[in-house]
Amino acid sequence: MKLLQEGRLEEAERAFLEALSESPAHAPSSVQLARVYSRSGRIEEARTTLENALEKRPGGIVLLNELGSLLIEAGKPAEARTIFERAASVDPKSPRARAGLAESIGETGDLEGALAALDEAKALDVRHPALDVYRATVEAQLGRPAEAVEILEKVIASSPDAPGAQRLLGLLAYSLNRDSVALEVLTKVLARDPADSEARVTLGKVFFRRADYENARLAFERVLEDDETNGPARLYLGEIARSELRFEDAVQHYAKVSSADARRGEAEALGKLGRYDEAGKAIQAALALETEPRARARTLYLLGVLRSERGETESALEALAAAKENDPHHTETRYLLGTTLARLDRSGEAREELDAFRSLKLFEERKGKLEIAILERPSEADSYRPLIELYLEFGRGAEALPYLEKALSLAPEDAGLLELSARIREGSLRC
Amino acid sequence: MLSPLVLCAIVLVDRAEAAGIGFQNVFGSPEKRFIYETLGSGGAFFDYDEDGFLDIYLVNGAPDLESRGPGSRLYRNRGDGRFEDVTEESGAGEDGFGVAVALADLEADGDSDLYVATFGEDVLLVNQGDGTFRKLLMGDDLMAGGAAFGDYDADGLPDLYVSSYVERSAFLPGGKGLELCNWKGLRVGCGPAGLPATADRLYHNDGGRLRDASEETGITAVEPSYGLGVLFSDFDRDGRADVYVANDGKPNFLFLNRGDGTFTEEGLLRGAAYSGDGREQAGMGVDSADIDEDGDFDLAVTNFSHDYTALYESLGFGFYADASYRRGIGRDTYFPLSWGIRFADLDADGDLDLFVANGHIYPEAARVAPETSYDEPDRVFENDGSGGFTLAPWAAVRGSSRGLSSGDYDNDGRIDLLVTVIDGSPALLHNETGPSGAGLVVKLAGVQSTREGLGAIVTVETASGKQRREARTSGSLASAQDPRVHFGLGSKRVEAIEVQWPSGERDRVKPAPGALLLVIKEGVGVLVTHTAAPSSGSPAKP
Repeated sequence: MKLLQEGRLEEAERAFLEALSESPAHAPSSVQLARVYSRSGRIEEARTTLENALEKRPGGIVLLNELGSLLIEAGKPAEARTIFERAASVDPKSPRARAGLAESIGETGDLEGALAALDEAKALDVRHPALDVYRATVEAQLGRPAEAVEILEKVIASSPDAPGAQRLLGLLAYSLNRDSVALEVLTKVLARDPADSEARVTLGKVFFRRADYENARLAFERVLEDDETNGPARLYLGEIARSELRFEDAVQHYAKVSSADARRGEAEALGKLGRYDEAGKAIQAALALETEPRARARTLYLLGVLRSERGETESALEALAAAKENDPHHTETRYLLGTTLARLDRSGEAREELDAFRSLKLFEERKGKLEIAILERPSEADSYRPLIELYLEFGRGAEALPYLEKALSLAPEDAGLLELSARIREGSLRC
Repeated sequence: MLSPLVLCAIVLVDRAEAAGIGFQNVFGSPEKRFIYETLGSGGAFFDYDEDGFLDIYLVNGAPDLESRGPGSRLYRNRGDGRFEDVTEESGAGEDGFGVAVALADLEADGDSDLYVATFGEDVLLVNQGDGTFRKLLMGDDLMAGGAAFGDYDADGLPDLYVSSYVERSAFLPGGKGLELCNWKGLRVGCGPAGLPATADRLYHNDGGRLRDASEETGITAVEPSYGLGVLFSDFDRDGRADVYVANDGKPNFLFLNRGDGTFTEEGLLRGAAYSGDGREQAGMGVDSADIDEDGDFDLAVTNFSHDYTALYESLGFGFYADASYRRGIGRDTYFPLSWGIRFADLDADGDLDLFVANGHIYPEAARVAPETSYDEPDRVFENDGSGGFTLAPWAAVRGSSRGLSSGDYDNDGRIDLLVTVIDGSPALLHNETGPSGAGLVVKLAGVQSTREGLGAIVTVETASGKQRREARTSGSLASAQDPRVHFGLGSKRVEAIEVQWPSGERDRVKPAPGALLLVIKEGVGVLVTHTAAPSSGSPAKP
């Protein structure tokens, strides 16, 4: 065990083989040997070791759970599910079997099935932090990060060292704009595992969002020390440089990342430097990489800005019209389109665009306030209602569906919510 | 041997102390607990006694909204580089919570009157022509952010626009203005976002009496905002005075004059209300000028820290596009919090440079944002001759700057600056760039137009082109400007001067060689020519 913990894998392998030659049915030795193989990347040998041991002890719950975990790790969730089902039948109250079963189902993409497996465990009164952590993972994957955070906070309150709980909470808290929670938790996670690059990148993002560029820079640079190809860290160093108006540095960082976001950032920085030809090339490169309409809209808007700066008004309008087509809710596009049309004496079209701009600004302002209200009372169905109504008021009911689902999960029989649901669906049918 | 850079460098030297200006501003608590305490007050260059030398008026605040302050002061220019405090004998003192000053000859009687906008009842100081002022109370209740005179109905009498910052009730017990908010981790007074606002006011000049014409002119048709800097100018080139208002954290207003006594607000449509990407900025001060000598007046608006001063390039006939970065202003104005702003030909090379007064509103700003500070230096941008700007190697730290006024106080042909400092003493920046006598100052004497020729466009023609300037006292922040127009000429000779008066009258004159200061009367032409700085006691009266 000590040898394995110290990473002395060859010596550990010899020791466990020796132990098994003396006691072939000794399950713990088989499990440890399998772990040695697994850590050495010898997955098939690990599997064979556990399967051989199971032949000797078909009801060995530890062996079954270990094999199931190995299969999940090996990317074979369907096979893992079969093994965990066996484990659960051997010991219906085994938390590891129950958690493994849920995870193997979830890994096949059946997240609702995973939740059902967790519910079944709960019904059997099987309790373990690992089950709750996995439930939180599934909730997050289902796009319900607030619920996930709620679960994790309870887990941590009772079991502060529950594996993975702090890390997941930190990542989710960031996605929910709960920066102070993310900052506190991720700092603890990194104290335990300084090489966790995802946690460190997220911590850097928290600092970036708080405009604490000094600490953000330190975080991203630390990630690059371990892995200089880490795209998110490099991209954010570009963003920091751009925020600090060090446009030349920003361009250098972006140039080392091959994503559409990087090309767009590069184009913005180059534009600020007046290097319009290079900016144009970066925009074209971004457009070649982007397929998602809203991202394309932002890039096409940049193209419009660039052309406007160069006095190419007609081609700027073309780019802006294309941006609008990709995302009619992109505020900046509607503004530039409106003001450009206005000076071309196309006042009717201009007013239409600028009315849309004003409406979008109003929507964003009100939406921001209502989102904060939800964050303050996430478990009350009533807190979601005004935001759903706002979406409906602005003819964007379909975008309110995640909020509606959440509200209905909290108050399934609420007549007002059901009516809102009907209105949204009616709107969808009309579309 | 001096390098060309040094030869061209703009040199501004603070002569306030040497000139005897012992003014100390008080503006709320030093800790700046509430947003209203952060604005600071302005000042004015103006010739109250018509002796040909610019005098100085400095507005003062008060310790709090309920108290009287140490009072605003009037300093008379003795013509020898020194000023004397004539507040008491002139009756120009005003001890309300003063914010802004506006300047014009309200009654067209030949002398300049002052309007002092305050956080309480505003005061009109009517110049009686004998070195004294008569005080008239306006009976208003606005917490003013700015004030400016301009003649919107072209009747020859200047009208007054007063911008309203926030509603006073915000600072009464229980008001949101007394609450604390978060700025980068600092606990600071809330506002102006979220505080109640009151509509701005436009007063029509009824023969020397100011009458509230806000409703009838359409000024109140817009949602009230947090108004600060005010500028009268003819933005759409239709011959009528329009109004631009810089709003703090809200879209700026561009009120276009319809010519029938009413205005329509078209800032958004005209591209002058938001930043180039459609964001509300925190408008503070405003100025406009023809920076690239293409015949249009471009527009600049200062903003909060971590946001650039917006330079709106005129695209003709009242349409604008944000050209801040392309014109070289964006990057070097981004971090400071900027207030007063003036275009002026500081190096007298024929193009308009830019001076920006800076200073954060939070005394502890540098603790959480080291890239900015409470007393951050003002900045000068030098025009490259085509409307592109470069940060000039000039900086001075005196305190947290606010208001800014320009004028040639010693009549040496070089334009000087007056910078007010919140809770501090002002800087009188004497321009010592290059040799004296490299500029021309034109004083207008309106007949059908206002006496100062407010809104008149003065064009100077030289062999290398034309320079256009507008006569006005409005612009910048909380401050009033010398209505005389200044041209930097270097060694160029003036071939002709044309004045397009708001009345429609046009005068074209050929000045005497070496003219340094001219007085041009509407419909008459040159009245007075000085080829050397007038000495004390030789007034340049029309």
